[in-house]
Amino acid sequence: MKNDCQEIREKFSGFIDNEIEPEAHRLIASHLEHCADCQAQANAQRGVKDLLASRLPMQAAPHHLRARVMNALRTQPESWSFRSLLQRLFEFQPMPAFASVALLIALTAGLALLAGKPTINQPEKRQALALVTNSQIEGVFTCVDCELLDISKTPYTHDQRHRLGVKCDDGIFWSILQTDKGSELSSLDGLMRRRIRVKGHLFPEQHLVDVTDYSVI
Amino acid sequence: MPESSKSAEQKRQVFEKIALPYMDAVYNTALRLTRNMLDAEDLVQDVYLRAFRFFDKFQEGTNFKAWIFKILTNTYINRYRQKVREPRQVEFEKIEYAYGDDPKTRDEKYETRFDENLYRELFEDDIRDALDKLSYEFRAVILLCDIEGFSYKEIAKIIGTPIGTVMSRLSRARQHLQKQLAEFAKREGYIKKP
Repeated sequence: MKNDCQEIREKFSGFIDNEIEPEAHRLIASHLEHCADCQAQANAQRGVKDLLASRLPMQAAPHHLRARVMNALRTQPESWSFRSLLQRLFEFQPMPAFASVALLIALTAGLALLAGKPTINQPEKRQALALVTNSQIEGVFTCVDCELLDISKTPYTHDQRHRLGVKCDDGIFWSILQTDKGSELSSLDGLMRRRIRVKGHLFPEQHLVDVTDYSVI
Repeated sequence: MPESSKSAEQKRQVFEKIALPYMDAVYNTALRLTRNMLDAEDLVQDVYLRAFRFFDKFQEGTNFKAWIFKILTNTYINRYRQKVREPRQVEFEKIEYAYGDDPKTRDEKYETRFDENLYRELFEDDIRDALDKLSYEFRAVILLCDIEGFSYKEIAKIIGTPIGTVMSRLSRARQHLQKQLAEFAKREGYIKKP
């Protein structure tokens, strides 16, 4: 391998992706005409790029993650930015002179608070019921009691009604709200251990689903 | 509702409208960076919370996807990369060309020939595994360029390196991938030793 091959190969990606100057492009192209090794390398790299684009499995964000993030955006303490602090002060005390005094007090208090307690509880915000509308989950229609008896290898059957829900692949068990559609789904025979897709509104914190539609897969 | 919480609510709505459509892309990249579903989910949540916190700093009209991906790579490096779950990979700086002048590799020249038909036989999992074997610096540029379709200029901004470095890293990363895929193909018997 000649020395300039090394240099050329450093730029193969730019050559393939059309990210180099026309002059450099011409240089590489003319090198490839004379160097079979580099030519093979360039083809191989192009092949790898195509392979990645067409065959790498893409994974969409799971539905519960979307719900989790939206919930976190709603419940996290509002931004700590200086600007928002100022805004809030002026809102309570619109006169600038008072505001600056209030700002000083608030800042001192804020610093003391930050030093002493790194987290501030905001129960009234946490209680907000997060809801993700028109989403869907997919999983195995499962009775939670049967599942527990099964896991613990207990050779009994429970004598109560089945407590049914959808067990997703990530292990999360979604309970079904007993609305019209939810009750209908729960009362169906022969669905146990079948894989179903449930459409509806999700309560990600409580792992509850308000079913609007369902189908067996 | 007080004025500020109303505007905070508006800010969140605007943010969600712009940011949520990118969640699949952010998650997919997070998954390939962490190689672990639980970590990927935590990372995505961190990224979105951070992006929301700094949303004021985002300049309207500029590329939001590039902006949130910069937060993604930064957050990954700062928080997750320290949590090494596997034996350390080969130091990225020390990786030399896969097909240098080393005489030992000369007889494996068949590997450099790329035959589409042979690679077609590879499983999708093989392609993912090959990518996962790359060190972070290589994996990141591949994901950003070949999967997410960012330009070199955008990638340079996202990972904070000169464009020339993006180019050489990509060249090397593809070369490593190709070698790895050839090894998989050989293992599965799609390529016979000459």
